[in-house]
Amino acid sequence: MKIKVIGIGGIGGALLPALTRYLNFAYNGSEITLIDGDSYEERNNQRQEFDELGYKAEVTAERLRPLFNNLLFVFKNEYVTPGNVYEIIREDDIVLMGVDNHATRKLVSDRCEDMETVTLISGGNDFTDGNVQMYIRKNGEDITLPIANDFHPEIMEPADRNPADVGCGELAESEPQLVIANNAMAAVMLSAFYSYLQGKVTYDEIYVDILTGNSRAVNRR
Amino acid sequence: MSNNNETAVAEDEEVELAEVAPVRNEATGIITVTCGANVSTFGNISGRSIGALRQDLGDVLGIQPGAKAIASGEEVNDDYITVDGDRIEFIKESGTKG
Repeated sequence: MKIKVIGIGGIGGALLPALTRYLNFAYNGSEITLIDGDSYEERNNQRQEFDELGYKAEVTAERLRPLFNNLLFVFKNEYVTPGNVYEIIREDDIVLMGVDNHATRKLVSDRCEDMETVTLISGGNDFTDGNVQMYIRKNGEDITLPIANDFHPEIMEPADRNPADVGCGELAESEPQLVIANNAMAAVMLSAFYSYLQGKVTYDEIYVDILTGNSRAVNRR
Repeated sequence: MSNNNETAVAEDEEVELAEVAPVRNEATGIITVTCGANVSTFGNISGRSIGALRQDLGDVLGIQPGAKAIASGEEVNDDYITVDGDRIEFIKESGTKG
């Protein structure tokens, strides 16, 4: 099995320990690629676990590698861009994405729509709520909706920018996030991943609200 | 659209899809309003417009300004007047951060 994890921030960092532990014992020999162009800074300590500064993908891969000997870890210290998306996301990949901008979501969704067989599980949150979208494409047919769809114009026509296109001088202070919300989305992504492996997915997306305790799976087809 | 009101149908019985999979709670007179993970049901708001519901329930259900509205499977604008049995969804945007 080849897994690509795009975004090793709050959500990606939260799902990786359980994902790699599960794969190590259930699907040993799997290859897992961590992809992120961002680096750990001290301020990330509030939400993310790391033991040294440096590129998030590389630092995290090196931290997990000795713990899970049955997996092949690869890292790419780069953001997903139009220039590398075709190399990064390949046929039969399972992609778990926890990025912080809709521009990248749109880029990855479009790449997946061009493929024959791929699975994309994408999570995102605001302060206390969020959603996980599940795009399954098999033999050239959409089994579930692309994550950039008519119900989500904010992804179809993103107002934000790919972080690779934002110069250092333009980087704005990120909106505050809650580690508990990140973990809630990571848990739902892991559930969606497991459901996919069991062939039991019946939804296009799941909404979660940690304040009300509600979650709702939606079939939009 | 998702639907939880499927009824059993004999294999040789031909029925209209709408009869098998209704999207309205016609028998109950209830209107369901959904946004994101949260669902509320009301027994006394039929006849109100989508625009009025958007304003009155915006804070309670976390309805974002400009959120698309779906009424019983069809996209509607703020002038749409709700009827008994409608299932209304204000589409919540995907979470941005991660």
